[in-house]
Amino acid sequence: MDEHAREAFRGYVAARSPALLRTAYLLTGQRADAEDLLQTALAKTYLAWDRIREREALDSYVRRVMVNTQTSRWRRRKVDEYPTETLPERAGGRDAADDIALHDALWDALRDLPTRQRAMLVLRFYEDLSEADTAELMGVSAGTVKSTTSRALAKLRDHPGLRDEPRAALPFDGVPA
Amino acid sequence: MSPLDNELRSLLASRAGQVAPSPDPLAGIESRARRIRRNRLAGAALASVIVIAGAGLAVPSLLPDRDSGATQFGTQQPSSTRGAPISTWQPRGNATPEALAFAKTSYGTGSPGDAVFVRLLWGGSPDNGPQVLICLAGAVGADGSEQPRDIALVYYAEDGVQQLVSTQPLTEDARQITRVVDVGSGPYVVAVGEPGTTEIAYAKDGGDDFAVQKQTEGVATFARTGPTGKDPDLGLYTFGDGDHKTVEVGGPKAGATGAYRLDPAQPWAYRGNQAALDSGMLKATQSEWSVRHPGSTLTPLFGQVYEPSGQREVAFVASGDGRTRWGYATSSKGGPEFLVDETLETKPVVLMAALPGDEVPRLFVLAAPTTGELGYAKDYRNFRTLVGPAPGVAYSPLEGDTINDAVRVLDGDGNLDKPVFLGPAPDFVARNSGSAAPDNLVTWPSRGATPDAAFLEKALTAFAQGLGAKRSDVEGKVLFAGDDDARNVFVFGQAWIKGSDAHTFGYSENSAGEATPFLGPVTANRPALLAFVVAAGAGQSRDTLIVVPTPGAAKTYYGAAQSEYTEITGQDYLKGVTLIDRSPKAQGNDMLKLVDAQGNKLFEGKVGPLLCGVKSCG
Repeated sequence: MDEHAREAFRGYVAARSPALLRTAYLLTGQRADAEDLLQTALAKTYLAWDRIREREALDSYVRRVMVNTQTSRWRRRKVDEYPTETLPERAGGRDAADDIALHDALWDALRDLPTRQRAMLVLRFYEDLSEADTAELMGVSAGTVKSTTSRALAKLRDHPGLRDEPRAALPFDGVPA
Repeated sequence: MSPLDNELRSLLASRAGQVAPSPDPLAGIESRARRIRRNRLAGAALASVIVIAGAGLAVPSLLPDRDSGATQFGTQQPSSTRGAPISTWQPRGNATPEALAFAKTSYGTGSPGDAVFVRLLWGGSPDNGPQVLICLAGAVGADGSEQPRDIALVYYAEDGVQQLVSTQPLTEDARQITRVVDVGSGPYVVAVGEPGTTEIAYAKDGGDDFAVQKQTEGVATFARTGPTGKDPDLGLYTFGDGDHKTVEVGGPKAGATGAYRLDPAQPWAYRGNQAALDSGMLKATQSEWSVRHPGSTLTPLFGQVYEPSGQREVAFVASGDGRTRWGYATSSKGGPEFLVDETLETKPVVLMAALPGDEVPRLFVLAAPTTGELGYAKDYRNFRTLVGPAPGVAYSPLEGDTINDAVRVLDGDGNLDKPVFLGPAPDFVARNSGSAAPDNLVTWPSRGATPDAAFLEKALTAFAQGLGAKRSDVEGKVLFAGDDDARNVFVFGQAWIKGSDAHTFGYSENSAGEATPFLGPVTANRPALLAFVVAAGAGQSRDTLIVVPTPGAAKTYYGAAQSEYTEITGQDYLKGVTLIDRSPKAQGNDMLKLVDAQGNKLFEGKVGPLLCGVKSCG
């Protein structure tokens, strides 16, 4: 990689790493794992930099590497390593107690999902990718995305921490009348 | 959108928002890249030794045409050159000359007049069954050059099955070839990774429980034990450069040929009972559909009179508003109800839905009339034939846990190797969380004027924006529309995000074009009435309270208090809808009462709660 390309790569990392780190965090659930995952993905991107022609699709490329790497990583680690229960600090005092409890329960439920299901929810509900784009990124059909997402949501609803959550406790944010 | 969807979005955004950026995001990237590169080089060197040795020992004597291929595609790169085109892969495994000759002859039969070539990519005998060959195949040009086109899968037994199973177009940038073969004691997976592939794993249930498979030269063959659920089983390849690729083992629906696809421009001919379309059913369905999807015209595909209820049912495809959809309508006293209203994927081979049934939900399958057997299995394996009311049409009860239910559609020859469709059956829960009409959608007819399509579009866009959703994910039903003397234009009804409950929703614009959306709460099931206020326009001193009652209502009373009821007589053409002058200062304690033709009270209560938005009441 020549100095011009290296400069472009550094510019990309500086501009996009905060957003990509957020996605990595949602994929892994751990800050340290997220940084490691993103570093791996960016290292692979660095090696592939000269071959990536569609620079506007870089985010998509990095996300794809992150999802695939995370799937493989989890598979290798699951026999001897589980995430800790430590959660990141919340913004203090902003949410009502019920909201905090609900978010904590949902977060726990999300972390209990299989990695692929969790990745699909992150891509669909955080990255706001369409079913087709999610399918392409994960190498599966749109139908699989639809069914897997549906099943992941069903698992969330059935999670012990959420099963008894009253429907009214799930607030609906919209515009006032 | 369900509350859970909203809460999930909120949670993900919230948690992600708490992640502080790394102080030095570039730190460590280049050193890690160097480490990865070193690993790749080491892996490539090892792979080169293995592949070259394998080719030298096993393959050349069996492959008389291979040298020309090597010349054609330039210098061979048997190492883990990242993404090296399939056409440059060296052959792995082995095959007999007879099997290769058969493959070439069979492939040539499908390309009459063309000189063809077939070159082995992998050959073997999984489970000690017939030889299985995965070949690169294509035409030979006038100058003798090979023009790769397809990946061919061939079975060859000396005294048994000899078959060109499938050909699929070559994708040069593919890094693996994954095929399911039906040999020996059951289905096997043949997983061929690009040269230098370091690991091949398999997950039978579509989850993350990947089991690493024994592999030789980047190829693994193993018994297919999945899928065990609705998700397809998966293969996970780890390549020499450390990258990964997950693929569905089932792969594309290879058997789905154009002849069986539904082309909305030339849809399948109508099948079923003509009586299902009579008595105005087709006309009413079209009318109601146009309210949902202005400009969309439906074409019936199948119809029947559903015995348990005597209701007429029609399955149809619709287009004309820029989107192609399919639906399933059933007659009811309040007009046609849509049990299915879904965007159509591009030229599908089958339409399926889980419909409400007499005692249990029922599966509806509609495929091309030229298809053969329709099958249904509770375990994805043991299919039973569905006998339907017309060719390519079937119903089946959906009982018990439907998580492993599958549907198979065979072609007219009953070809089990290449089903036209093989996939999960829809389940009833999934339908209700998909894009079908929400359960709380009222079945009342649309009254008043027909809203202008552009105006309706603005209204639905406002609804989508109000909920932070994409417009394409939002649908609506108009219950009442019109304008008033002050040139306020309004539309009122229900709108919803696909898969979620419907909200009461209104939208108005005054003469200056100023818009006022009303985003009400999730509509109650079977409401007696819905109400909406259009604010006083220029030169007016009073708001207009619009009351849209259930079709069974006969009289509407309104008063500042219960003791001050006045019967409100609506215009006949409004069919029960009343427009009531209301003070802008009304605090919501004013009262409404609704009675049916027999004087039975259908509703009585304060106006205020009827006008509650999602956050406040008016």
